[in-house]
Amino acid sequence: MRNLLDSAKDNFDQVETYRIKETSTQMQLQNSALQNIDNSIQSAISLRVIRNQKLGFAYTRNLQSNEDLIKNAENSLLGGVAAGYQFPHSPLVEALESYNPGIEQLNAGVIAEECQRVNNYIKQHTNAETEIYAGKNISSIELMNSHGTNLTHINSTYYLYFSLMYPGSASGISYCLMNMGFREFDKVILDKLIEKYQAGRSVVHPESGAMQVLFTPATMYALTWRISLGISSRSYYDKITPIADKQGVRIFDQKLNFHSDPLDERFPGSRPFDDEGVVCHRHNLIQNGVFEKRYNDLNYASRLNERPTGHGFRASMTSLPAPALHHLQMTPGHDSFEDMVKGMKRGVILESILGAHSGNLPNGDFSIGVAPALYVENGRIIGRLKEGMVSGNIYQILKKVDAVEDTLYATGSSWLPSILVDGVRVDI
Amino acid sequence: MIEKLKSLLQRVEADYADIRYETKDTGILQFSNEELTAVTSSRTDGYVIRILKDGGFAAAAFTAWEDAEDAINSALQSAAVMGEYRTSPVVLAEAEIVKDRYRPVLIEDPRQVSLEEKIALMKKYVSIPLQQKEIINVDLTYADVIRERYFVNSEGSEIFEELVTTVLSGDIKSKRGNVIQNVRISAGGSDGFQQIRDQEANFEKRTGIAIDLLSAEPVKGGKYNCILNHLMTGVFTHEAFGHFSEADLIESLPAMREKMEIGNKLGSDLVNIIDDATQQGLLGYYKYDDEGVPVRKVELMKNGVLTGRLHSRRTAADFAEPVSGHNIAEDFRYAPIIRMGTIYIDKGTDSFEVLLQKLGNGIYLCDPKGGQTAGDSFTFGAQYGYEVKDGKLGKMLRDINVSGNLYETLQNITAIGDDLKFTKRGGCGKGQTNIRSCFGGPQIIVNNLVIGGN
Repeated sequence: MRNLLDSAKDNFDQVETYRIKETSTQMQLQNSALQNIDNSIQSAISLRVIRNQKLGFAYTRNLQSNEDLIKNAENSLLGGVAAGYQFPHSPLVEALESYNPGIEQLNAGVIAEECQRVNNYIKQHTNAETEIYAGKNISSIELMNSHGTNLTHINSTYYLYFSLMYPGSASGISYCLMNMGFREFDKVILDKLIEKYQAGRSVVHPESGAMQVLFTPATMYALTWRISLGISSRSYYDKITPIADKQGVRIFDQKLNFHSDPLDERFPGSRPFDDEGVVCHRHNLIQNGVFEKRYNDLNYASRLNERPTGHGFRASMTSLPAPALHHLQMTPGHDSFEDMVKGMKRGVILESILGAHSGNLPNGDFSIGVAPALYVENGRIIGRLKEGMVSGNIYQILKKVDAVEDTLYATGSSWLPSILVDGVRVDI
Repeated sequence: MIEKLKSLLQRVEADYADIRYETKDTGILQFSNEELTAVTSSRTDGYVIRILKDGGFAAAAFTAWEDAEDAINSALQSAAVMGEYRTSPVVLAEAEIVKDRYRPVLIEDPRQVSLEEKIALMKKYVSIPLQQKEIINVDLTYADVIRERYFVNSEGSEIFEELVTTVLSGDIKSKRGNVIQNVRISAGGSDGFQQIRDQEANFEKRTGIAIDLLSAEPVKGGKYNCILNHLMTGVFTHEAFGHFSEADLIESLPAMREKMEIGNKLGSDLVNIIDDATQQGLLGYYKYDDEGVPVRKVELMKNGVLTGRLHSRRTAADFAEPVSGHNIAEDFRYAPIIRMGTIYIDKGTDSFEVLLQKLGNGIYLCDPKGGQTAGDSFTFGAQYGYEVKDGKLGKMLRDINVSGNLYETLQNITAIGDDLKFTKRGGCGKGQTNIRSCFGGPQIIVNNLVIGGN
């Protein structure tokens, strides 16, 4: 990395090198049968260069020669991509507790045994078909630039995702455990999920209409995806957000608070700096329903004359950093999940959804299939909807939120509670 | 390279092993409006080794040759774990031993088109929507992806195959007042850069739709009889039925497996479904899958009766059905999984006018906007649609998402159009992204689809 940086420095105004190394093991257990175990040892290096405020970019999996990578970056300068920003000079950052060394010794046998244990427990108590994905991932990042930034970071994650599927439907009640190291699945959580599964065993066909909808953490991404788009600097710059002029204005119910905090070490995947070397910090996005701040990367910060917020992340090694929320969190509310359900007169609990990516995302519209939803009347789950659609617009339905759950759960790189919203259209 | 891979395999003590090495050259241009926002041109490479030993089957991917030993050990250890935890040992179905080198016929090789020419062409395309004042944003990406795959297995197969994919994908956004609408645009294929040329009329048409959507009415949620246009039929076939015909999704789910037993009557008599990745010129074309099995045309459904399934060697043995050549990986980072190649409902006899008459009242659903499936439930979006009244097209509708149950929907297909069209761009995301996942079909009538508005 140092050699590459030094070799490239003379050719360009600014240079950034970025290396990632990842090792992983993942397995899938379907209905008691271990289907596959995949291992991976991968590395990649990318080079970002700026000359005369134009950007060049190249990457490789195997760095055979510094010269070839530099030449590829040089060639891409011919495209004339504008880069009016400076790579940051970031101080050495304090290491976060994002890595559990014990994960190095965690082998496929231990993970398989845990999958089997969870599977057997579910099978003893239900007729559910099961789907379990479990594994570990260790990734290390090394980022240097010609302004003296030299940062490293390592993350470890152990995860176990399982789904109790209603036979014949391949959909059901699911849960994802994420931790920095191996952790046995909590029996109390298993029992709660089994109870929920049992309550939804009967398929019901209620009338369509507007009703209460409880978005569980696993389905909240249908909402947060659209919120993320709405408050991104990129959407603001491209003039495609309907809340461009709403900064400082209450756009949602005051129970809703969203922030990103990559420094939060409670959850795996914490990051002291983004993929451009900008130091991360807690960033309030929505406070008491008020749209507080957009988030950006170096590129859009420069274009909008804003301070970089440390949200330049790469979707993959093949892509340039772009504004993205990392460690998105909501402030927990005051109601337990059970109390939220008890408070429902008529509505559905969205357990899993289909098609969150379709619909008019920038407008905030959603129209999602249930897979499945539990149907609630007078505070009691009386069965499940096997098919149906839940639709609305986030800027309308989130103006009035009935309740926010008091606990956060892992959903990808976000940590979210359930929320209960009234007056949402459900077609069955 | 083949010799290098063979020498590595010789070090593995197992019942079966294979190794795939790939180079992947990717060139990408990205535009946001008339501004070029990214240019990349890079080569990556890596290996995937799979080992079958004592009834366990596991894989390891690695990018550096010096990690080969660690990768082999990981795969061996994982195979041992799998062997221990499986009640029935993994067996691979018999497959032909193949020695072949294959490069597809390209009408225009994208490597021979200069970067300057590609940039100029994209700029021209972007400028077409931007001439309209209600178009506020155009995102456009061009990519060419060239995979060179070397495959060797312990049974003696030695295969080289090149896969060249060109992709043009974009999004055109329109705005009037507070209403923002968008439509997608795509082109591309597996036989060369000419698929990217001459798209001006396509851009003009999509621009018109984006503007018309500003005046369209949001669809009212409810149950409707619908005509699905060609690509909507394709996404339905892919999402609702196709994933079910991938054996790995159902192999350990007894209830699903029973429903999907060969010989079961699942659809109306009109429905014939085929997966045929051997059709040159279509996006989904390839010769060998990523475990060295020649791909073949598979008749999945005949007159509504299930007649075939898509397999890997592992699932073919488990189901005691023939191999089909559908075990595909995104690239060198992944072990293969079962994927559709080119799936479609075969054409029928009705013209569009006849379909409108048969529908009478309902909705004409046009162009997919993504889809997803969970078991026999599916959801997919339409970019736009039209009300149909008394057999005539009426006002434009927007914000359309469709949900349903596979079995009911297959039974509810009541008419099939007389021509076929196929997608020019893939992108199925079942675990890995398959940029050559191709689907299509005729226009069809489906009764009683649940539609959610916004």
